[in-house]
Amino acid sequence: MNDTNDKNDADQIGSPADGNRRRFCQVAIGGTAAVSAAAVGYPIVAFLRLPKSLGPMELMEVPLEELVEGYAYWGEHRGSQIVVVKLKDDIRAFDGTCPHLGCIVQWESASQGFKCPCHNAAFDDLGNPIAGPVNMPLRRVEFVVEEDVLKIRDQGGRA
Amino acid sequence: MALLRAIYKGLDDRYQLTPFVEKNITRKWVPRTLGWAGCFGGLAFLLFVIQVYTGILLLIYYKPDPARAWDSVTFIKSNVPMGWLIQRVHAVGADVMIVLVLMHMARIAYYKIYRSPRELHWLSGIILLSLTAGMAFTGYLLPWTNLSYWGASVATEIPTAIPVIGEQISIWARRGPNISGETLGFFFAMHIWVLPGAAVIFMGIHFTMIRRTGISKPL
Repeated sequence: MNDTNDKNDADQIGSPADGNRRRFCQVAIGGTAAVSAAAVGYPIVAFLRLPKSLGPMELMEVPLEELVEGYAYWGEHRGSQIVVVKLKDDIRAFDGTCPHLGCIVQWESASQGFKCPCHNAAFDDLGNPIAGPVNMPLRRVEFVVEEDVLKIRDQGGRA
Repeated sequence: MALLRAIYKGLDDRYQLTPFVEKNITRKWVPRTLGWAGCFGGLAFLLFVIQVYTGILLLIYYKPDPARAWDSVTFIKSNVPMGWLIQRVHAVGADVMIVLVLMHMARIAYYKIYRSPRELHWLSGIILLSLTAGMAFTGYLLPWTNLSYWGASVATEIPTAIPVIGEQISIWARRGPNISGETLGFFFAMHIWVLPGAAVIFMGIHFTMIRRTGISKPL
């Protein structure tokens, strides 16, 4: 092979060989950039997808020993915020969504009732409305106790 | 591509972007004697950018609360799609960034680039080194593992060797006599806003000074 001649052809600016080389470099650099962008971009986009256990299918379980008398235990069940309260002689579970405009109510251990932070609706420990802009009770949620674990019953669709 | 070109041309006509891009990027010449060792500072900056974006992603799930911090990191690692990767890149990236900063400094020291007129480059660099170490240290506590707890305990014990005020410094850094939830909140705020914010300011100063003096040309 005659090195010098090859070199001269290729190095001639504007010659066909120079055009090919330029095109090759453009494709190689562009391709590398595209692959790199995909390699960096994919994990970022994937990270923003919904994680496995935040899906609507999770069922809520509470070990009984976690419940303290007079206080509330919060958890998520099929996408709903569930509150379990332990009273002196009873354990009750409610859907924490206020029937007024859908805020999540708070358990007030001082008054042994629920209060909604949005519009001051208040409920007693049975979930019945006692004050504020609401005339519907909190929804009671059924559960079973198996081997000292309280399990919210799957009630079809939303809990 | 035609659309992108049209957008670029529209902006270029109005704001003369091309001379700016050519002067600063595409036609900016560097001394031919500049070797690969000259890239460590830029790589450290690249690592900072990676830490910022992986950090922002981790913030979506991380909870700076002693009762939930460890669970939230475990959740990121095991349940969030690609969470293991983002978390690992953020954790290992901190180590890599420190190594790169030290390599950058080693080269500056070896070639005596810190001499006039670049003394303040070195000084701002020392501040950036401290901020980098600070970000790594405060970030180490956040997963709330045994290692991070005792790491923070031991490191915040160090200032007590200083006479008179040492004890007070240690209590100030821990927000109390021991590592607690208050420490976690303090380190968290330092880690995500205060130290990175200060780092951005000092990087701006560092880079502007380098642009004004030009990089050092070997003989």
